[in-house]
Amino acid sequence: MIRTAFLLALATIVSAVEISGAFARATAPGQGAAGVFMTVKNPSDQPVEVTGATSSRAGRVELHRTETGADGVKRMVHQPSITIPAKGQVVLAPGGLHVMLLDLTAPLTEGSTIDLDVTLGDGTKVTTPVIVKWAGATDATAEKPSCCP
Amino acid sequence: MSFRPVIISLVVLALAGLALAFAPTGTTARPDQGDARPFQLRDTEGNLVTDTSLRGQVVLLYFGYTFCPDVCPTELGYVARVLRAMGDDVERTTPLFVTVDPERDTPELLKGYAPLFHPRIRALTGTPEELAAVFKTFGVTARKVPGAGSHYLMDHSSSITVLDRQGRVAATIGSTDTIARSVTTLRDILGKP
Repeated sequence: MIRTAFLLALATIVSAVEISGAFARATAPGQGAAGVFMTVKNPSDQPVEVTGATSSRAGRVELHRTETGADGVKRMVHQPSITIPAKGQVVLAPGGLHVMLLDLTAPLTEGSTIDLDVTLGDGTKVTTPVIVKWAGATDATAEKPSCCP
Repeated sequence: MSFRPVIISLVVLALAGLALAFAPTGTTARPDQGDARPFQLRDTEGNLVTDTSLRGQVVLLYFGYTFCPDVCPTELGYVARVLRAMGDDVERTTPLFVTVDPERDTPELLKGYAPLFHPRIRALTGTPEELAAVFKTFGVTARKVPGAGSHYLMDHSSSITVLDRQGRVAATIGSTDTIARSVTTLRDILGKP
């Protein structure tokens, strides 16, 4: 247990990427999937591959990109990995890339925080907290609009 | 030898023609005012909701599914922000979320989902026939695509169709429009008989 914690801490310290602004959107009971959005920064001088992720709150996690066809039809395309360029960053944001949580173990409640371990090409994991925002949030700082006049 | 580029060009042209001929009809076509478009769907209690039962209201019609983690929450969040900006006019506006995935979107799930965005958003479903008819009526594309394991995704149109108080298609809006622009559009439509 202590050894695992130590190794995890070590992995975080030596990990090549920095993750910030991770957020998901609140889900309803029975809802099967949720997207997670974030900024992944790579301060190193080598490109880094993000190859997947895991979370205690999802039975399965995938990397997806939303694409829009010429006919306006939206489709989600599975990504085997996402390359973070050297000294660069990739923003996973609505309308583009996202981490897809599947088989949610329980609804994501607005205001709560869930765990996510992002897996890199060399097998290391970067742990990030994911804040659950209101269902229609488009960024990590978005406030829920008060609804009714 | 010199025929080869010509033949390749002809093949490319033929393929392009085929692609055009089989391109799905989406919502990119600008909706025309035309007549009211009849439809019949069900709310999460099983009650019928039809074009005629919504007369007098400006209707925002959005087609999506709850398994959609990106596009649908963005558009429904946009609808919520537009509704907030409508002030009292929200009382004459009915936002509808019509599922393109009735297999997974049970009435119970839809009942919990729509209010996450705004309490006025009504989630609708229907029989496969009713839904197929409404997709056709509004030119909505909804295709099931196999995903990992038992999962599947839906390729789907994602614009918000606005019906005027007579049930006629009056505009399309979407999250790429500013809130102010859509509020103006909706108020213009509300002002018309």
